[in-house]
Amino acid sequence: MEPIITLKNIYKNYGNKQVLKGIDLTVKPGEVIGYIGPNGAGKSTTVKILCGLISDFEGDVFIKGTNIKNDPLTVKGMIGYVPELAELYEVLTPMEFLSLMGELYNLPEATAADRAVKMLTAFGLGENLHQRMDTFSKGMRQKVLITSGLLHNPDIIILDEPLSGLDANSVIIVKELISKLAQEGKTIFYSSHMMDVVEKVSSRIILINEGVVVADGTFEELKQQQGNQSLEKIFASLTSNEALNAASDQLLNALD
Amino acid sequence: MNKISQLLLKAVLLPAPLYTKMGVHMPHLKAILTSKLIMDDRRPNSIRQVQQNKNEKAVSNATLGTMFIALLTGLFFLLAFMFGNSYATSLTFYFSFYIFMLAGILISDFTTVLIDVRDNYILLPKPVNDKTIVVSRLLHIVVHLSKVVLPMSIPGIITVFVQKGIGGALLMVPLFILATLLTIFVINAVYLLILKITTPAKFQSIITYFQIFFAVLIFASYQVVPRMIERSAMQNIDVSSYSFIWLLPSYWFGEAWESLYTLTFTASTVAYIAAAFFVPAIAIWAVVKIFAPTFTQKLAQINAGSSEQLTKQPIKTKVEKKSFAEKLASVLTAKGAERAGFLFTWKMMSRNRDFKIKVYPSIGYLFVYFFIFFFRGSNRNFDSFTDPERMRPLFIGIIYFSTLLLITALQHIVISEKWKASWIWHLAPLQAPGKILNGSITAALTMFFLPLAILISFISVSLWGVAILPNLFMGMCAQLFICVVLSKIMVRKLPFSSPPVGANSGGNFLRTILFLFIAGSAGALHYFLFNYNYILLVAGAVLLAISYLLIQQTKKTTWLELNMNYNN
Repeated sequence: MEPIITLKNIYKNYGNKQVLKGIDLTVKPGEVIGYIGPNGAGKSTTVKILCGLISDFEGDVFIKGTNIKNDPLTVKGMIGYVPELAELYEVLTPMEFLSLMGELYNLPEATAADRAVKMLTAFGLGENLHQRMDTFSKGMRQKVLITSGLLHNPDIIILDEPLSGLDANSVIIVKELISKLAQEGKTIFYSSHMMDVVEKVSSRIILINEGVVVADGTFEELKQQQGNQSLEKIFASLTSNEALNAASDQLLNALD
Repeated sequence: MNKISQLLLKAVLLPAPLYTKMGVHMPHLKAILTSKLIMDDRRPNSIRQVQQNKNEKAVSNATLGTMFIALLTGLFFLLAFMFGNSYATSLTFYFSFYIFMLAGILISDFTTVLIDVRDNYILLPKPVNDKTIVVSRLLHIVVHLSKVVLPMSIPGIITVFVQKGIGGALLMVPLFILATLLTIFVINAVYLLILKITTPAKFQSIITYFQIFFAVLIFASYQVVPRMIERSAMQNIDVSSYSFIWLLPSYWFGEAWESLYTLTFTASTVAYIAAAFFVPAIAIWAVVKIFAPTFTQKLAQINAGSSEQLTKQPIKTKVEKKSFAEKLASVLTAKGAERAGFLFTWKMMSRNRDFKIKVYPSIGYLFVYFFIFFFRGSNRNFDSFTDPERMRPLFIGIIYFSTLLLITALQHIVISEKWKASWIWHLAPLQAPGKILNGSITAALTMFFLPLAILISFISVSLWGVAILPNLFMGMCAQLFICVVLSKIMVRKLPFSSPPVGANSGGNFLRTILFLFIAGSAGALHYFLFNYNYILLVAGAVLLAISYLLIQQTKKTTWLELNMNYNN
């Protein structure tokens, strides 16, 4: 099967700091990639490159065979992105905001409105469709954001900490949604710190540390490689150094 | 969206084929602009903040209010028709005023529209091309500016109509449009050029100081230019006699009008007509073709907030030397909450962009006033500066006028966009928050009063010797007293803990006027006591003692009293 996402030898610097040091990845259609790594590992940079937000990188990124550097708009049209920060035009209502999103993805007005109503209602926001979002809680805004990422029915969905701020019921809904989207053949690139969720929803886990991929495989494969541990333990053993292992002791000692 | 915005939206989208030719996606452009204009209608503005009214009519009133002020400004520009020995010269002045005012409005009010970082998360990941995003921002500004530009230009057009007939007035219309486009696109080209050659982090800082500088420049020109006009024979001035006048865009517009109106064409007038028409076009082209492609990429890096972009700093094991603020804090405040309040406020005043934009220009305004005070009158020479009796009004004026700066600073140390972060103070185990308030007020006085006091003292003693000391003592004590009273009324909340919307409502303007009146009255009283040294010393000592007592009282402010201020 042809890969839907291909990253070839990706390097990215911020000034003198090299954040990505030769990332090579291929993702097949229908895969749910759990993309994990410690703070500063290069996760967000990879996500931004995939979404076309960063273009000054070395290497090549192909989305469904299209080189993102050559045709970023086509690639953006194939991707649904849910950012970590719930940034919205808060003085708009969800329906107004999603209507704008629909327009930007060239969706017919009626289709966008119909999908928006159905999705927001499913999220429990049926009564808030025409309320300004400046009164919404973080979780409510996150639901609108998830809806906006899925509205144009993209083949590739990139989720950057999508569960941030959601209540327990909504977390269950989103987790099930991810599984069902994958069953429908959508490719999901899920970047998160929440190991338990990544463990449950991902068909493949990619662990990145200091700009390089340090582990890549299904959870079962990683478990076999690392001695039958939980994902959290695998994460710790592959990304920590001695100083980090001693961090909790150092923190306690600092209080003395 | 209100009716005026709807109409203007239709107008700016009229050249759709041109936009499409430039690579702009029209349905995207229309959708983005519509949403942004709806948002603008709902965003609180100064009038709505006072009225606390959320209906759409308030927006219309606000729009009408803005348009009325613009109309008055347009009437002020008519002064230009009194200058010069030719109509081209008058129009050069007229367009100079117009472009200058427009640039000021753009820099002060529309930078946030151009550099709207929310678009990083909302628009940039969508399949919208860079040109559409840049043009949408610029047209958004054009729609807004039209509400100002239309009423501002009407008095000028009517004047030309009365003086030169319908032909002359009609000629003014395209020139206004070109002057507006030139101003918008040149300023944006400068912004985008800065963004292109610098890092996004530095860009924001540069723009902040650029805005502050421009605010002071506008203020200075309004204050100084009319005074200069009195002295010179402006009525007979001929701007074309200045060798570098051809560099001034307003001169192109003036000459273009004259030439087209009289239908007299020379090589130079044709060049000016060409400049008037083509330079705005080139500016638009430069913005869309050269700067737009990299604009969104650079913009995406502003406020990226990614830990991946942080470079690691070496861990410092040695105890660092105390900073200047820390040294001051250790001298001026008691350990604990008061010092924390001082250092927090000091750092916020030094780093917070909104605070700097609102307060720092006042420092510039003050120096403009000092300049005006010094050079008022036509026969000033150095001897007149050293005579204390002749300089009495100047001395009193400078000391008491500096209250303006302190009023502005104190008004803003409670306001912040990030006011919710002030939960830290409420969570801290503090018996009484008065010490934080005190630390905060001390920081404001130290940053804005102390340097001024030192400067004034140094200049006064240098010019007038030690004989001025009683007056200086009285002046400083009175200033301190006014500031402490001001802070009792204005700083009734924790530092940077109040949202801008509520904080600006109602009273601050009236309070400012009231305190300027009090400062003026105190100055007048001091003026009459100028030669009574003993009275000055005693009065100064009394004011100092009262100030001390008031400061001690502030320290005792309880949570109950403080919370009442938040509820009001």
